[in-house]
Amino acid sequence: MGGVLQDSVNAWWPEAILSAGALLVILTTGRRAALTITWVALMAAAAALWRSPVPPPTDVFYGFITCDRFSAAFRWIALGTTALVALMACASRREVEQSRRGEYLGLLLFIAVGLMLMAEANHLLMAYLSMEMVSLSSYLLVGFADQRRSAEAALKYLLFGALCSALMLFGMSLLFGLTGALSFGELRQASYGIAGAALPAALVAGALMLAGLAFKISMVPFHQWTPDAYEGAPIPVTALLSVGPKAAGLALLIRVLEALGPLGERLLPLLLVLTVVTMTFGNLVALVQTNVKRLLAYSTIGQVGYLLIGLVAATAKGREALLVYLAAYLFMNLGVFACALAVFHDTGSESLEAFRGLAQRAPGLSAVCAIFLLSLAGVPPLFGFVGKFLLFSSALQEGWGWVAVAAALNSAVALYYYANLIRLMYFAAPLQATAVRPAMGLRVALAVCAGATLVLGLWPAGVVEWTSRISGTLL
Amino acid sequence: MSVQLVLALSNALFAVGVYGLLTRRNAVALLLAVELLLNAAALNFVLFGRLFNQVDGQAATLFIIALAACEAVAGLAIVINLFRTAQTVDADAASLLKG
Repeated sequence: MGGVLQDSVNAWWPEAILSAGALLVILTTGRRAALTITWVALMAAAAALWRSPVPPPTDVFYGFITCDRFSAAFRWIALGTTALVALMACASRREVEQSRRGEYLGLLLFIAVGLMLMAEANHLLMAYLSMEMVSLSSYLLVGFADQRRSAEAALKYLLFGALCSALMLFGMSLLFGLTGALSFGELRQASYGIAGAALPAALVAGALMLAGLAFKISMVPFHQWTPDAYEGAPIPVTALLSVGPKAAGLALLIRVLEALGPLGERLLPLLLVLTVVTMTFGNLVALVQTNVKRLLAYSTIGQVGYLLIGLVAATAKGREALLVYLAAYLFMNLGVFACALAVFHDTGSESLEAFRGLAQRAPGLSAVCAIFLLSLAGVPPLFGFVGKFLLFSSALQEGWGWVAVAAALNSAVALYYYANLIRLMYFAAPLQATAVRPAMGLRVALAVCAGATLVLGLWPAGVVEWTSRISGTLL
Repeated sequence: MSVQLVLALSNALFAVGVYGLLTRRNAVALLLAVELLLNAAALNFVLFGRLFNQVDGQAATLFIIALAACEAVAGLAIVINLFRTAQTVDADAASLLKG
């Protein structure tokens, strides 16, 4: 008894520290105090995660959560995303009132805890609770900007999210009724025994559960909230939503599909079709966008489509590719959002026109922005190319030539709208002549993202080896 | 009481909730519909927990009730925020974003 609790707490220090930090930050009023507590909590959590035993000697919290290498990777992704977003949030003074800075950062930390829990969940109830923790905090954060647009976006996001999470919960309750199991391990065992009249019912229950997860990763047909929520939210929040919940949602989706056993395998063809639809839809609609946040929203939907290839392939190779691309996606997507934030601070505009002639006003900023965009498009030798290459080859390995072809065509379409932004920066006349000066926090975030995108793109061997060790342990 | 009867009740609750969510325009009424959806699932958990003689189902229900309260709090906060900036709680009037 004492042993289990002790092991659990030892494995769970990062989440405990972040939660305590979040509660403290919400109580503070001063800007300096809020920033200090946030960074101390993030650093302490990183140190605790570095030292946490992987895998822990016993089942953590009686098997409610699991702290294996796979969840450790996603915990690092969640922590890294939150840290970079916190840098952006510190730099952005325009969008959120100073007096609410504490609540803003506190909710950010709560999302980080929720994301970590999503990646660790090993029980249906835990999966639901962690997803709601992320969802509720993000509904509130989307409504944080002091504008009508933001309030509307929050309401839409809330209603759509509440419907999807209720669908998922109802699916879980039906699955519980059919199998009598709630933890993923028992569920997997029980799922092999489902036959006859119970099978269609179990498939419906499984599909309902996927609806909630599909909402989190904005997979078609549960993507409608994405552009509106992204446009209304403050830019740092949009950046967080475009990376954090996507990564954690994919991790949970992998575990849920695993837990569904034969039911999951029956749902895979449906997921494969939705994968191709998701990437095609996202990339085609992105072509006609004029607002940079809406453009990035549809680009996110397209990128999620690529990521899903690795998930549907359901092999060690596919998961390895998924992890590598997620790591690349973290840096390049947050990088683009940091650029958009710098431009927004300077011009107060979120339209693509604001990027006109940026190269003359801020050569450094446009250079890193071009790097991120080319990496998102999958141009070698950047990090995005490595991940994409692995993803497409995992599709080919499964014998899905048509998926690989569709993904390649999609990349060509995507290159058009990414390159359009680069064209605006380099070949259009600037609207003003003054130099753009990004805030200190933004500079740090941009440097980290650009460095990772370049260095890991040129020398990807270390990352690929690390991810192959992780994906090997999962199966 | 038979299992079928309770299942029919929870399914009916769920259907009413979905219907309400699709047809109502007042944001507060939409939040009520969400509560119906959550309670339909909670009822299922209680029923199956009792059926299998497992405490897990009942425990899950307690968590769902607590979470439904949290969802209502977050939802009402967002509705009040909308009312402050837009002077309306009509979800159809919230149309600045292109959807």
